[in-house]
Amino acid sequence: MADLRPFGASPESGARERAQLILVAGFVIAVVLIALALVMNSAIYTENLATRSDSSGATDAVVYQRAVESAALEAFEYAHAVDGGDHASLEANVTDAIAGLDAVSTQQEARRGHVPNVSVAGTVHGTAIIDESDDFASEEDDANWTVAGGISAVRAFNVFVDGRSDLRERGDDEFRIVANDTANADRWHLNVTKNTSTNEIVVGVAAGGSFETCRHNDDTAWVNVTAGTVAGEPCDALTFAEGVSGSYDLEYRNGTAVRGHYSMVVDDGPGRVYSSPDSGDPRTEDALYRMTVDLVYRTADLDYRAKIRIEPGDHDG
Amino acid sequence: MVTPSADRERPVVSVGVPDRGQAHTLEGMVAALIMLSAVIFALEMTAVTPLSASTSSQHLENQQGATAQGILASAAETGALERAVLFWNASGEQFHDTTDLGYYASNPPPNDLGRMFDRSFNSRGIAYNVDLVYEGAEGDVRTKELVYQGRPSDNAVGAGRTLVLYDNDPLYDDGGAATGTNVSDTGDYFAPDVSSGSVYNVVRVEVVVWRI
Repeated sequence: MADLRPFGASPESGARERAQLILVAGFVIAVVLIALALVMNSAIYTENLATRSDSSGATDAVVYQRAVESAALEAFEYAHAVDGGDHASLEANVTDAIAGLDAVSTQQEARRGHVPNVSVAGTVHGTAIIDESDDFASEEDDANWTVAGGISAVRAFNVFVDGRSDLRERGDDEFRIVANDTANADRWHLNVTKNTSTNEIVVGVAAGGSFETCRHNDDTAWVNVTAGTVAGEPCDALTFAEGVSGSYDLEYRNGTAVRGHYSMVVDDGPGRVYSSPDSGDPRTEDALYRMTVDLVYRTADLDYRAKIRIEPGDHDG
Repeated sequence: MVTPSADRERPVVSVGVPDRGQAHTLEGMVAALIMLSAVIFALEMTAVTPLSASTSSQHLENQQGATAQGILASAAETGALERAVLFWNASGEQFHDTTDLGYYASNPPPNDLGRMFDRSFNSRGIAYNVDLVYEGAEGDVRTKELVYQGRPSDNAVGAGRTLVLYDNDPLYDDGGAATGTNVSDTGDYFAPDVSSGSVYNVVRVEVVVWRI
């Protein structure tokens, strides 16, 4: 210990006060250092909290929306697969399903202070057109015919092409799928032909004055017209009804120049109902073209709203 | 002759003061160090483990929370989450190959979801619990443990995902293949059918993750 007394001062003349002073200074420095460490730590902690993205429950809202999207899609598919009735019955089925989902999940989310609400905002009626008969001709066995007239959208349009017989080389008698908007003179078409020298199925798309092709080297191919794939591979040229903006007629040309089957859902009555199909004819079924689900998700800091559009196989999505 | 001798003493005092100032400063610092040492010693007395709260733990919490959220999201998209929830042994009335207690413990569920947890957590010394929250027959909220590895620490983080089961969803066998039995066909599934429509039940899969 250093001499705390001024030189020559007696022990009674204030030495004790100065020793205290030094000790207090030591305390103060120690406290300041600890306080600094605390301030640093709390600054880091604050930054950590501030950069957490889900402080308001926004992540929960988006996660919940995604869960509702997949659940609503499943409800939509369930209704078509299991119910299979008319439009009113399909609507009742999906509305019941969404109401059931809402009732149970609201209770679960409420435990965490979040209040969701899910309801069916509306549905758009549609018609499924299916032909599994190995034949692209009409009910009256016409090769050139209108599959659905005055429609504005098609979803889940799948064509299975069997190239082992009947499929033609490119030319006037090739098989074509045409989206024909006569009012605006817009026209889009897709042809399916066979290149016999390379044994390829060739899908050609004519849109906006250009013609491009996608090829598949096999005897058969699934062409997903609305998804834009040929045998599962993306086909860049294939964008359904590109350049056709108004309502249009969906037509087949040279339906006898191809073997296979097809299915689609159009967003309106097809203009006609294929009521008494023979084994080789297309048939129609009532379907929902689209369902819109309203989602509201509330937390203490958040009021999140979204519209979910369920439209499986839609070419826009 | 007292006064002259007193005059001689004063210059000595003024020469000695700067040395003592340094000494005082040093003493102050030493006192501070002693104080800090005492604080550190006190902190060391309380065992600092990986579970102790610290700044680095907060960042780890963020990372583990995001990992859990990511696993659930990707499992939900691939259907692995639904298959894991329906990975039910109807005759044994529990999940396939669980412990006697009816849930998975140190070994993850032998399915895609379990493998995802295994890759992300088990190999890094991170523990997790997976709870299934569903609606009971009386409209109450119930919890079924799918994986239970212990009581979470103070640094645990959670993530959840809502999953809707439909009447026609199949149960899966211990190889992960769909059986012919739908969830609504068996009365032995842990969750009851709570909706008159096509919805069977809504299961919220909640994951709690912490470092061990």
